Amino acid sequence: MLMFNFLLALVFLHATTAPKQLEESGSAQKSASKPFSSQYIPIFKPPSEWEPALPKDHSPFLQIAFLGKGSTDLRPSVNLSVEEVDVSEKEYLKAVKAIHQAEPDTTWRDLGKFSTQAGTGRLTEIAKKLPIGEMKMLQLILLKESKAYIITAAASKADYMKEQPRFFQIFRSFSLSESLLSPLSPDSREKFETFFAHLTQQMGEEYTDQLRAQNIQSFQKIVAEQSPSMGKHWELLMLKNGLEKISQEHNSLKIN
Amino acid sequence: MSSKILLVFFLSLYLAAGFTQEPELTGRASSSYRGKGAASGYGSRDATALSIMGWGLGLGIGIATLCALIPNNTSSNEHNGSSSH
Repeated sequence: MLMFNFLLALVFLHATTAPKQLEESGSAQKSASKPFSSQYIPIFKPPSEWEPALPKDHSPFLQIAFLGKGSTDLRPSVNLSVEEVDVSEKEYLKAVKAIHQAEPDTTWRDLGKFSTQAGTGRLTEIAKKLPIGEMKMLQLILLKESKAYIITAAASKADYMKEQPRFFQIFRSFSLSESLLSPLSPDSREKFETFFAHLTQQMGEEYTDQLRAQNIQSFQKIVAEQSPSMGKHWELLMLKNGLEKISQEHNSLKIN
Repeated sequence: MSSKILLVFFLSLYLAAGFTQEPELTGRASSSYRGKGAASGYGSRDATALSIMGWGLGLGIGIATLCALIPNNTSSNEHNGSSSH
C-alpha cells in the first residue's frame, strides 16, 4: 500500500506541476500587477475508497481528481479546479451560468449558499445528457482573495441520489490552509518538523542514495499515519511535497 | 458483447467530438471567460471526461490483462514443443 501511494505521488508530482506552470505562465503578467496573491493550499477529503486520477488532456485549471465506483458505466468523480479571478462573486456566477447554458443538452441551476471550512461558497447544479447516459453534477464555487476554487462532484443520474450526501461531505471538508502542516495536531506536526529538521541536517553532510531511500520510506510511514484523519488529497499533496524535498540536492528546505 | 462493442463505438465518437471541440473551448477560456468562470466550465468537462475515462480504465485493464496472458500462453506452448514454428 505504501509503495502504491509512493508511485501515485510520483505520477502526481509530474502531472500536477505541469498544469500549474502553464497557468502561472499564462497569468504571470496579470499577477505581477496585483497587490496580493493568495498562497492558500486548497484541500478536501474525498471518500476514502476513491482513487486519484487525472483525465488525459485535462484543463490547465485542474489540480486533482478522484474516482469512485458507480452502478453504471459513468463512475462518480470529484475534481478541484482553481483560477485567478478579477471579478466579484456575482459577476463570476453570471459568467458561469452563461458558459453552462451555452453547452448543448445541459441545464444549470444556482442552489444558493453553502458553508465549508474555507468559508461560504455557492452551490450550483449541472445536468448533462451524454450519448452513454445522463450525468448530474454539483459544483461548489468559492471565491477568496483573487482566486476561484471550484469543486465539481459528478455521478450518473442513477447514482446521484446515493452519492449526494457524500458530495455534501466533500464540499463541507473543503479548507484553505496556509501550510500542509497547519491542519495537523501539535503532536503530529512535531513528527514532520523533526523529520525535516533531521533531513536538513543530513543534507548538510554527506547525503547518499541509501539515506535518501531510507528517508522516503520513513516519510511515507509518517504520512500514512495521518492519512485516515486527513484524507487522500492531503496525503498526496504531502507525499508530493515531501518527496520533492527529499530528492533535493541542496540544503534549502521549506514546507509549504 | 455486441452491446459493449456498440458502446465502445459511441464512446469513441463522443470522445472524438469532444477533442474537436477543445480548441474552441481553449479559445473561449483564453479570451472573454479566462478569470470569469472558465475553471467552472472546464471543471464540468473534466468531470465528464473522468467518469468516461473511469469506464475506459476498466476496459484498458481488461485489454492489458489479455495482452499479458497471450504471450505467456505462446511461450509455454513453445516450451512444450507444440509451437507451429
